[in-house]
Amino acid sequence: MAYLTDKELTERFEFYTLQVEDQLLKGEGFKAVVEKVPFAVHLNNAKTLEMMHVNDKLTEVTGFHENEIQEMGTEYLENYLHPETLANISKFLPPIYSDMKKQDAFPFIQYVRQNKYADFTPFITFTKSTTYGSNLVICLSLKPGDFENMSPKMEQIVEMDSFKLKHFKRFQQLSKREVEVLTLLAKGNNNPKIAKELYLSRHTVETHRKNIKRKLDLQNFRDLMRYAIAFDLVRF
Amino acid sequence: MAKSYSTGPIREFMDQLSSLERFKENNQESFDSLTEREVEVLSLIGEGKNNPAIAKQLDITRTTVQNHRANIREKLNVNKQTDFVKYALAYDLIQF
Repeated sequence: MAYLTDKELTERFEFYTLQVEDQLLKGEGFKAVVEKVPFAVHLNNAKTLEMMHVNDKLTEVTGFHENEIQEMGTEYLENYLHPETLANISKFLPPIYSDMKKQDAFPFIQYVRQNKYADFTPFITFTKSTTYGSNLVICLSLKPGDFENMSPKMEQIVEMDSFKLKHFKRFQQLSKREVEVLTLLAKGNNNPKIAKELYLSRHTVETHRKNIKRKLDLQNFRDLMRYAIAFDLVRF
Repeated sequence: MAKSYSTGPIREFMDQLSSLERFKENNQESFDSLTEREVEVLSLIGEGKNNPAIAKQLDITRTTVQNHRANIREKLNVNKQTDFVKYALAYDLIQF
């Protein structure tokens, strides 16, 4: 089975997103346009981020019909989005929308649950601002199961983001200095080198290492690399 | 910067995976020079296992593991633990 590369996959979704916008702008009407798209499509308010229009596929994955979602408004976001997702998207999406170039689609991961007792499921969403409607943005969402035969790398991205979500609190416990030491360790430096680079004694570096190990509960170098990759401390 | 968000934006992850993809293409020849056993050892190093643990898992002596490690080092021209992990990730020997 041939997989799409991530670039191809991204391009495909950017293309889908643009296509949806194009058809909406031609006046084909939301329902007519989104019926052809095999993923959850939703038009959100650019500022409040509440969902204004959704397709059947979205009803399938969320369990809610368009009228129910419209009625709940921002309450839907508060009750069914992971609190971290809600806090983050409220911060990073609005500036992205106001600064977006015509062709761009922005990918991000959000964690959504079907009811208050269910686990949160990750979705990859591609979104772009549009001139269609007033203050609307287009979103295309898919969940990892939908990636079958697409890209195994996309699944890895979901893993990375989930790791981040799970371990963010731990990571935040690190002091600025400890993050510096962690970064140098992940880049393959040993204690003497780190001591030299940061103008510290080897003993101090050793203490930082121990504290990092304890705070992040690291068992081996692999665990350390996971943190370094997920929190963008090293670039390959 | 992504660091300020606990979760969400994934451009950095995508960039990371693309550069691993490029790394894979650029180093195919060295990687292909590894024996099957060396690839096994490399994936265990990538998982963070030390020599004694690798020896135990593959049922070989520690000296043999050391030899494998030395050969991998030479063939891939790697020195740091980080580079072992990079190879293991790029060639899908380990998952994130």
